[in-house]
Amino acid sequence: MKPSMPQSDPAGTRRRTSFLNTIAKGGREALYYSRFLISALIGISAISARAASLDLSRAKIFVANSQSRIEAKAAEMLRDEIEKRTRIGLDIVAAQPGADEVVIMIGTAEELLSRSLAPPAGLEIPSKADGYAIWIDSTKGHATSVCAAGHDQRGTLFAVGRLLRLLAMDRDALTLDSGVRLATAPRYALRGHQMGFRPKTNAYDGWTVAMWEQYFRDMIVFGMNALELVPPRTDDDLDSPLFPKPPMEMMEAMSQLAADYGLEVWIWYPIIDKNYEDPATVAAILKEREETFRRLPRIDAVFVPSGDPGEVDPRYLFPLMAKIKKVLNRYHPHAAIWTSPQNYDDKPKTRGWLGDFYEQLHSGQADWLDGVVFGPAVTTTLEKLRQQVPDRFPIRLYPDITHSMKCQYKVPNWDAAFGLTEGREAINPRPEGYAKIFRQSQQYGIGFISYSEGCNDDFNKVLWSCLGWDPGMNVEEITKEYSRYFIGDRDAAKWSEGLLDLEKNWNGPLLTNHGVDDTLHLFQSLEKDATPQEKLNWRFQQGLYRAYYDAYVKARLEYETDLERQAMACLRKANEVGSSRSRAQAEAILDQVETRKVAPELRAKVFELGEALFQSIHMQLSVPRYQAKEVSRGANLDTIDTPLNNRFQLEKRFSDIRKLPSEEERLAAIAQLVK
Amino acid sequence: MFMARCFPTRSSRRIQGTILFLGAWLLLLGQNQAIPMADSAGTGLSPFLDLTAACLVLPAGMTCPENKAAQMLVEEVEKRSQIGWPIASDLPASGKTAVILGRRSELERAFPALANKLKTIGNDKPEGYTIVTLEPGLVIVAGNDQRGVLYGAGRLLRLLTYRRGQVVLDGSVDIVSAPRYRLRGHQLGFRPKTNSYDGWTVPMWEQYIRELVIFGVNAIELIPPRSDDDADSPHFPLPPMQMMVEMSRLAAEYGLECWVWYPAMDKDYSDPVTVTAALKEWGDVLRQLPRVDAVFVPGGDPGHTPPKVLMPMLEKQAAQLRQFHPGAQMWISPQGFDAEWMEDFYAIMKTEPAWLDGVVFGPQQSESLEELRARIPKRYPIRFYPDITHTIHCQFPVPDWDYAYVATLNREPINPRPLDEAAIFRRYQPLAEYGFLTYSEGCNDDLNKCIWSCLGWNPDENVTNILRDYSHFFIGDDMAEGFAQGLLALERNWRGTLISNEGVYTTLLQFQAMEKAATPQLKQNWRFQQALYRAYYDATDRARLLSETLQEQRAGEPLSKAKSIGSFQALAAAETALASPDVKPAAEWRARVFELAEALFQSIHMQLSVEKYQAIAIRRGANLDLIDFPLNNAQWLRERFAEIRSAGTEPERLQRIDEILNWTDPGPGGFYDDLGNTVMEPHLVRGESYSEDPAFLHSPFTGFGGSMFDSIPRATTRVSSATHSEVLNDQPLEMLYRNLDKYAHYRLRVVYGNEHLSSSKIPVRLVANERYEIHPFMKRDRSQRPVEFDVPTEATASGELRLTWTGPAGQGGNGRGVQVAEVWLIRAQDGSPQRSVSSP
Repeated sequence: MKPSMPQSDPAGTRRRTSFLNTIAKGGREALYYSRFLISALIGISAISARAASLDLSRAKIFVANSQSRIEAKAAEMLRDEIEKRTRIGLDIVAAQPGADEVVIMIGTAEELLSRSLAPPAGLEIPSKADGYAIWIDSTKGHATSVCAAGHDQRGTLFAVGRLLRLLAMDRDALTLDSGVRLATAPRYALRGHQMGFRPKTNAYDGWTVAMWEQYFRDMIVFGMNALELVPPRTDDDLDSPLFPKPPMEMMEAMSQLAADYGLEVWIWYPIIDKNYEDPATVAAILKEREETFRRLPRIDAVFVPSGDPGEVDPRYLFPLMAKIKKVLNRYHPHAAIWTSPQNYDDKPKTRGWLGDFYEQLHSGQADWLDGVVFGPAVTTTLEKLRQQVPDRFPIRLYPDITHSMKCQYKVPNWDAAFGLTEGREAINPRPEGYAKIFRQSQQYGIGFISYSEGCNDDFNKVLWSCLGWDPGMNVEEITKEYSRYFIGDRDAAKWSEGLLDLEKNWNGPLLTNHGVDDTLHLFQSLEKDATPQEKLNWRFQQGLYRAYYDAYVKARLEYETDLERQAMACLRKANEVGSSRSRAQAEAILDQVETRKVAPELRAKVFELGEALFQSIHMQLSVPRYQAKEVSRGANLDTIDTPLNNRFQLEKRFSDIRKLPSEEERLAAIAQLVK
Repeated sequence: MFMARCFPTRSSRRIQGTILFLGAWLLLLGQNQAIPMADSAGTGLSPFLDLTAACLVLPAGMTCPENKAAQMLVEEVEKRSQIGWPIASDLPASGKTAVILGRRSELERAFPALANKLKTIGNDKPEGYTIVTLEPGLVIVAGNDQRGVLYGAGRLLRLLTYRRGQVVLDGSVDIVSAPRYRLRGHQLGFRPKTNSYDGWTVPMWEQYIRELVIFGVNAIELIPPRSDDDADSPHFPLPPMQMMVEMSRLAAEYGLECWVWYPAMDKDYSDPVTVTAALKEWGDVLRQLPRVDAVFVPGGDPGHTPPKVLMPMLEKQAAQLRQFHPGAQMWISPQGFDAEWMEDFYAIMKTEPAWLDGVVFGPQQSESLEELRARIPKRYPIRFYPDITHTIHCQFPVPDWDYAYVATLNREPINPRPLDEAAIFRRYQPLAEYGFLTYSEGCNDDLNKCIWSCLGWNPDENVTNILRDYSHFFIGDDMAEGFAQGLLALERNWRGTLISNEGVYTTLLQFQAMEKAATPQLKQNWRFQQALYRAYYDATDRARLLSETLQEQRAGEPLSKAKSIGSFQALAAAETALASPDVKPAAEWRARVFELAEALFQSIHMQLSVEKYQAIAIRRGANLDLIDFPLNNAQWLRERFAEIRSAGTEPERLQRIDEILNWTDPGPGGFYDDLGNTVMEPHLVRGESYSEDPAFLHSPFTGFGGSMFDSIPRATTRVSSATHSEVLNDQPLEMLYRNLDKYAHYRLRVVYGNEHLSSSKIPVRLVANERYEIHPFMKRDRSQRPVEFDVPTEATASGELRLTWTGPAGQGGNGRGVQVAEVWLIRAQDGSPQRSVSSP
């Protein structure tokens, strides 16, 4: 898992267009790009951009508090992520650098202040968890200092993450706009994503600890402060042939990583046993959980879904959760427990399932409960849920950002051809769509941990993280920041456009969506000039995979639709040429799908990219090739040839028609068919 | 302590966590009371030993390389089994299993209870080790010295059988082993042309160096940033100087010899200014390296400096080298020297320069290894420097390689050649007592490296067993036999003519079966990917060769009817027959080749295409770009057709068509030899067997030239002209005809070979029966048009005609030049040639 390392490039391309958008953005963030703003407004010339940048290629990294594990991790992250993109390995130094040096200072605002580094006048760090400020102190007499100052320990991590997004990184070049000066804090306290190390996630089950750490970092850079683990036993297979470690060991390692970075650890812990009224079952449930809780270095909360999977009557669910919490707090005294009413109300009782659930919340017996989760398969609206749930219970959103159909937020106006081929769990950047959903729902909650089944929805995670920090960010800023950091400066604008285009590819009837070919051309132009590092970058591969796959589906849909039209035209002449001849002709035309394949080069490319993704992030896009768990779990290479016309149905009808005794009947049947 | 590094490193920071973790284990285990081993004589050992729950016991006083050995052992076991052995410093409680690793002396000191076990089974040879299983569940790996610990750990890794969640040692083990040769190394050049290496990161290098160590390698050879290659590669994850430092550091940490291959690239070392600059340049590089044991300066390839000038410069370099690395050696090779330089070199060597430590025997040396040894004073050891990486235009070409492979796989493909390499080793290595450090251009030759390493350790090792060992360790126990035999099958794919080698498809079927059964981990394993790539590529080649051969035959049909249907129509029909088919032959295999190329780019950054993966050049192993290269004469025919169309009259056109159709016809009573096509060269005088002369120093061999070696490869040379037979250096090329018509008058028609890389300006002389000069030294015609000569009737009067081609003596360079592609011996009717052919 390697991020891109942008190629050397003419200085002109290193323009900082994303700043423009940042300036334009409203919301809570205080941003001051005084010097830059002027040059931006008059149109940036390469010269002025260079003049305004600070060379950091020889900078030192200094951590203010050598005792802080989080700050140490922040420093390592900064050094490593810079090195991956620039080949420049900055040193993390133990002694504060002297006057003639350039240093990146990492610490809380207080710690920095104790080293005489105060924010410039007018720049105030919001007094809120995870907040931070970034500025450059060029006071004479001590080192030029790029200050990444957190309101708290974890704030330093996000300051460094933001700094990484602001740096101009190129092969052997590292600079920062010298006018950088900002202070910000997140709007929502909880910003997390579910990361299930389990077979059905179609890539995660092949990830090593090192790959997980990389992914955590990638998410931290965009503000993620929580993640949700999945225990070894869920509604999934116990083992995956791709597991590099047994799942319990991996769960421990992931919890440890989160602890190292100071991230909240949630566990999505469904109750999948039957007969929970049976004390023996309850004892077994508690025993299993105790083992998990005991082994994990950090747990902040356990989320017990009431369904999807699970079928627990609230009258049993609540007492069981109370017991689970006791066990939990034995090992993690401050850990919380949450639940969700994810249950189809299919066994109506007096009040129905949801009614029973509300009753439990209002009973006064649920003091130990810490909050309620709104996720898929909840039979009420979020607004109503908020009204019904007592105010003392916060609501966490649990949005499904991973599925395209048969899910909480299906792709609107999705062409059936995509459903038949790319299927329910495809690579699915949906910037505009999810931004809209976020804005409609988020105000009711304290934040979110998304429902995700792998890295297909990587962009969507970043989108939620960004909006969770600053709901005022517009979508294009997010696609650009994402592209700039993960793909590189040189191709950021095009990639950003590509992400938006991929979403448009999925909008409306495919036959008339000519944008699909333009999208492919855009991605092909990126591919043609790609650096080796870009080609090794899984995000780059995913974008290409979708662009090629979409274009191939469109080419096939056009072709097969036309073949069917031609076949029908033949059938219409049945009266003139006879039923048997017209049928044979129609069949021959329909069979051209096999004999004269359309766009084989697009298809071949999809398979090459499928191989690339298997190698780079162990993504399993096929069951026979890569041992994906099931075709429906994102293994859409296996459905790439699904017929997109009625060939099979027609050929079945043909064979029925052939059996009819008289020509008259056959012609009548054909006439019927043509209608 | 366990993972302590000898040298400061960027990556050491990343394993601090692991150190903490292991440290905790040490503390934990330290609390266990060690129970001295009971003497366990008597009952036999169990047939296999489950080491899943074992710990690794290390004595106090482990050196840095020994700690690396322990780290390697633990990590490589874990990669294969998901079992992470904890580290302990005491022997385990009774009933527990353990692996005990260390230098013998330290083990004896730390564990007196084991001392007599170790004493009775030890040996003292450098780099040697003992591995012995003791009841009830102890495996002792005792190195004779620091490196012995490393190789003992490596050997144990090869002996273990891994399953997910399980590590097992099959059978009881009692091994005492030490290497036969002192130097066992491979060149690892971080430079653009090596087609994967330039994309490797420091951890990838460490992994590869480890894998070499596990099979007994004790030396690596680095290349400085400036060599006969581009200064930069878009793949470089670090600037080359930095990477060189890192690789030298790795050698130091593992306790391996670090050689530097340092070509003398400057124009004129007789100029003192150049020498001063060179001293500074080399010094700046060498002083930065944590470890240097030897610098090897090739006299040629690349190199152009006469020894009289080169050696004084090297004397200065040697003195400077020893300032930075006391005791470091200076070596030189007389590669590419001509006869005069060679004599100068011997003369200097006779003076026994004290600054020089040894002489290297490598590619492009016209003298034999025997001769070199005989003429170099005994005090200088000889290091063998065999090319294990190339298939053609090289020191050890693939014998009689098929044109189709040359045109596609080309010079630097994935090339497992177990039997060839063993033959080369057995023929030459005994003449170079010191050992070897191979010439390699990447990881295409990975298996060949392993063959050399293993034979360098034990020359008597059975090759198939080496392959089993390689496959067992790298591919896994389940597929070890299948993969080992598959590697032999890949070498067999390259034997004989491809059109008749049906085994190529069998090889593919076998690999497909392995592919189907492969675990996800195996599919991510680059060695598995490489073998599959070759199996699919070879089979695609054969399918296409069959199809294109048939196409060409079909194109001949209308041409043979040209008289009746008219020349234009005949040409048009022939062109249609030659057109590329809509559906490519073996399209699915071909598609899989592309997928595997993608896999290899992702897994080890292998660059199998210039366009797709930014390889430096097509001929640097980017053979995906040649996968559709024509294997028949279609392109040559199309060019002829164009010429024929512009010919003035129909009779002329028909005449030219006739010439094409009858290209290989020598007329009644005549003979046609297509040299370079093993089934069509009956009159070629063959030389020694392959095992006697695998470098073809005394024997003719198949060579290749023509437009496929143009900067943009083209297929415009007739296949028969693109293949030739050739000889090296001062060796003659001979053809022999017996039982000719004593009374006839013969003429000779010849197409000479044209290899761009050879000194193609070298003139060639042809003599019949050692007396009759057919033609004096003459330059070859680059267009390769046939040339005709009269054969004096005296020459054939005995009924026997011996044709001898020679080049000028003592040329040096790569030694190639005498190359003959096609020969017609035409029996003239009525004392004159049967047909006239255009002469130059």
